[in-house]
Amino acid sequence: MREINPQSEARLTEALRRLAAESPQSAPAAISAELAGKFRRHHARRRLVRRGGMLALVGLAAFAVWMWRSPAQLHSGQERYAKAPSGTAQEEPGVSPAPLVAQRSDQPKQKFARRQAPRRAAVAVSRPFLPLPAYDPSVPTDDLQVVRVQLPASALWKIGAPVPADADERRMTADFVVGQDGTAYAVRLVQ
Amino acid sequence: MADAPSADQELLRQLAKGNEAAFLSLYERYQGPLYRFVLHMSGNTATAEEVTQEVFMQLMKKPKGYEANKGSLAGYLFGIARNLARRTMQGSRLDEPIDDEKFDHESEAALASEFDVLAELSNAELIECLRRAVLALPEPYREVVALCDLEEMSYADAAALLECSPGTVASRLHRARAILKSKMSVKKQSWEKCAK
Repeated sequence: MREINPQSEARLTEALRRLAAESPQSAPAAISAELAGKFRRHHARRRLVRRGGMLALVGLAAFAVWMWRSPAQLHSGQERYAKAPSGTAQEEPGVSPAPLVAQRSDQPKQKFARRQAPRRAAVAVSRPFLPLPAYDPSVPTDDLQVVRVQLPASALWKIGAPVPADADERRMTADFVVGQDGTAYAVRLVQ
Repeated sequence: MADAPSADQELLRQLAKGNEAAFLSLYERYQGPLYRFVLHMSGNTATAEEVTQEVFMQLMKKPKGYEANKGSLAGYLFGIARNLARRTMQGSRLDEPIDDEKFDHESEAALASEFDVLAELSNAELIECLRRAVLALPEPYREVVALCDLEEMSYADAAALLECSPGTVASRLHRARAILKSKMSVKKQSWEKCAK
């Protein structure tokens, strides 16, 4: 093999350096500006997506809390009703405030419908509330709430609900309008 | 180029958070070498611009695509540029693969030493002649010339980028330079014929 001329190598190196020096050194400035614009748009879009995701997450969490609280409230209402003195159903048997009860039941019914709508939509609630002997027109309607309970038919009869006198021990679902102290003022049968 | 890898990583972290200044800082640091590399590989300014832009678009969209334990950011960016340039130039006759062992050592030495055309060409002729000769090199040789001779990258850095050993880089560079001289001698002879 013959030797390569070292002078020729040095000249080639020098020529390559000159070629490098005479070539364009950088990309046009327009590319930098274009990339900066694209960067801004890209991150604006990313921020938007991230915020949307966060909002969706918060919404989901709020919905989960709402779903969790609704049955809990209903359950606590049931417990309160269970603790209420059962004697209240037998008090003041002469009172017959049917039209007033109809007025009172409006607001609690709306509250109830709002809370239970997703789960109880199928239940027919068109029946009117019937006043119970403990009905008191002086109780502010804001203090009333509707509680759905399942009780033996005989217990409902004792409270004053319109169930047959010979009702057996089968359980029935009923809505009660109750005061803050747990006194039942009106009832309607659901099932 | 990769003098401050930690600074690069910090800039990359900032870029991922949406810091435009960090992005532009990285762009200013690497756009020149990348642009020149693609320009020397393709011989086309439009390709060089397109590839440079695309490299930074990829960095913008996937800043976590770079893994510091696998090499420098410069190497990562050059790797992207190399792949994009290859794809852009696909189908071109310049991209025909070569067999490293195919080149005849005897003829290489003969061509390189017999004719020293470089001393006889004017500066402008020389640059133009050399530019064309570089573009006519097979891709593996063109890559090492573009990286080591024109970008003055070390053999080790070039080897990391090209995923081969520094010895392979040195060997390819040696052959590439011999081919360059031979191509330029042929060019000189044709010029002389034309002049007559």
